[in-house]
Amino acid sequence: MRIFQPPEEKAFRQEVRDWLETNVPRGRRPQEGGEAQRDFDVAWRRRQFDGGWGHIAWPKEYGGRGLPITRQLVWYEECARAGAPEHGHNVFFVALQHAGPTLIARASDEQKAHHLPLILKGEAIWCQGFSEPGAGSDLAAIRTRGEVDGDDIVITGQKIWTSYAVHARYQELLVRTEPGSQRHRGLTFVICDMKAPGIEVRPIRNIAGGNDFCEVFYDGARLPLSTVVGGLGNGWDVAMSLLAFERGAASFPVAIETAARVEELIEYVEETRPGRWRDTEVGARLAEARADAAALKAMVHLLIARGSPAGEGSHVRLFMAELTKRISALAMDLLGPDALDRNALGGWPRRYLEDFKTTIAAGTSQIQRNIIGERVLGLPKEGARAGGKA
Amino acid sequence: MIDLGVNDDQRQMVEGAVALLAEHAPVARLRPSGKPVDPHRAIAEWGWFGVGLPEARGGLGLGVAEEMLLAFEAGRHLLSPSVAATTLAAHLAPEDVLAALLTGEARAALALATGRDVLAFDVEGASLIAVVDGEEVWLAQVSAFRGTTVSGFDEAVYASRGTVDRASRLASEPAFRARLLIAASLAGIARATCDLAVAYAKVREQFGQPIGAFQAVKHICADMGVRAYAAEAQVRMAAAACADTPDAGAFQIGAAALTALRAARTNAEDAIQVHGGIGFTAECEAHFYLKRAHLLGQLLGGTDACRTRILAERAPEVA
Repeated sequence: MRIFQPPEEKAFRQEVRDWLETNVPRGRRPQEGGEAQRDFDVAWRRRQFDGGWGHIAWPKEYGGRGLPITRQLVWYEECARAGAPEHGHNVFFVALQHAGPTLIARASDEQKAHHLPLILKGEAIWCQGFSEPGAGSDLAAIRTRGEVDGDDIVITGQKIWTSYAVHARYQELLVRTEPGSQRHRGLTFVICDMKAPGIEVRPIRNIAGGNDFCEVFYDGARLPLSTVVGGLGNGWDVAMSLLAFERGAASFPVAIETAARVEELIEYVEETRPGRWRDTEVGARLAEARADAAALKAMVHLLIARGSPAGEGSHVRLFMAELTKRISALAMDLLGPDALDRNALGGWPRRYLEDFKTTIAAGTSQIQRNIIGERVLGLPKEGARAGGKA
Repeated sequence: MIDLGVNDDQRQMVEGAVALLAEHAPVARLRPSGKPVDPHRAIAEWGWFGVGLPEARGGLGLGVAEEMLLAFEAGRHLLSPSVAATTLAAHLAPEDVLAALLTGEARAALALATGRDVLAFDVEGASLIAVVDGEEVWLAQVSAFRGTTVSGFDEAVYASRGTVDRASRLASEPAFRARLLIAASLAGIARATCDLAVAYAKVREQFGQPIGAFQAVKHICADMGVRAYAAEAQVRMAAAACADTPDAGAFQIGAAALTALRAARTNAEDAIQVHGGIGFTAECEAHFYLKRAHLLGQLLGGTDACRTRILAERAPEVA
């Protein structure tokens, strides 16, 4: 239990700081989604890669620096400090936070060698093909079929709530490859090439006005069997690896960036109502938010210190998601009439709308509570009979 | 580099403390049907009060982190505030009483300056009194306290109201250490109440199922788990930030106080609710935690003071 700075970390931090000073994009990230936002994110990703910052923790052979996760947190901290574009919000989020880590853990050497550098160079945006119209929280209910035909898998069905699908080159796709199989059996995880014939992406307008939230239709799209990750029929297991990343370390960027967002609001209120806000209701909420942001960061470090046991990441995910919504709701109240301008104060009102997704994506808050209740606290599953085992 | 883990020595120390308290201070001692015990002497003999004390003062020379870990267990086991008071007093007491504090022959009582008077806890048998007074903690002979017994909100603690003659101050220190220890005890309460509710939800059956299988109950427990996790993480961060001196961790202690106070209170309230009818009885341990959370919360100045303090601090720069 200590805070210290080994010389290598100090040098690393300084190197990051120096590089960010001259390389952080000057213009704001376009708020409205679409191609301008995508191009901004691609350019920033390319700049990081060219500067030698493709990834802090990924292995060197795939373009990362091969450093420990704690150094990755230093990178997030320094980026937040420098006002760099948020790591928690960009079109490479899926690729960097869960597709990549899943490939590193589960994919073949050929798959890793092909895909990981493409991600880091900004040449491949990824999306997630898990949810379906009839399979949201109940992921094991998916029906999209993958029929093995010679050396190919032929995909037929539909996915939905697919963020960034309009921009994506690849997709984490979970399909049912064993006809008639039930629940989590008979599923396969494939890397879907979004340019394959037979795939149609239709944007869905979301509550914040963006069009990057999509549904994807597959009408006999052919993917080579070489796109399977972890073997035919092992899809559920690979998907669980992925969800552990999505519900665990994928929360870290936002967890680190949250404190800076709270400080931004404190600065704003200090400017607009100097000296008059501390003893008001918003003062109380800002105090709580400041403590919560500190605790959120501490939770990340506790999770790492405990070796990230299964399910524990959901503590961070749930706390982060609910705190994010509390903070953006607080911003709305602070802004008063300005809240009616979506772009006020750097776009907080738009962010307030976007943040509704945080308690839905990666498993709703209710699913996170089930995970904590059952996997961490050991409570029985629903329907467990009296006197029976959990 | 932030390391919030416990090392092997710390883990062994905590295991030792837990075994000690399981034997000498089981929470069931507080129940109306329980057998009252005074574990203070056993705690002292185990070495509790020397853990964070410099070797020059006869202590083990370990740090704030170890004191925090013990305070967490003190909260979990609902130890008398005198344990925190004696820990603080060991840092402040003159040499001639120090040895007796370490062996348990003498102890300190904890008191809270309210502005009008002083509320003192478990004064009987104490020879010193440690007064939490705004931004500092000061120590006096217990004879400087004049007061009368009141009907304490937390019946596991004898409360009295009165005054302490300020002229009899022996020593003082900034309140950071006291706040960290109290926050750690509150984090311990948050964990204990979560465990209590979860254990009950696993065995209590209604509608043919353990009630913990129902999402309505499970989700209450999950939220309790998250609050306990956040509180424990933040008290560890606060202890880590203190390094050599508690005042270095002012911001993190402030965040820990608010996080742990809210976690302890809410979890204790939820623990009563999860227990249903039995939760409203004095035999169920949940109410002891609720009452202690209020007592410790007031020692932190209450929620409002915690909020004011954290807004007054500068947010930490990254290293």
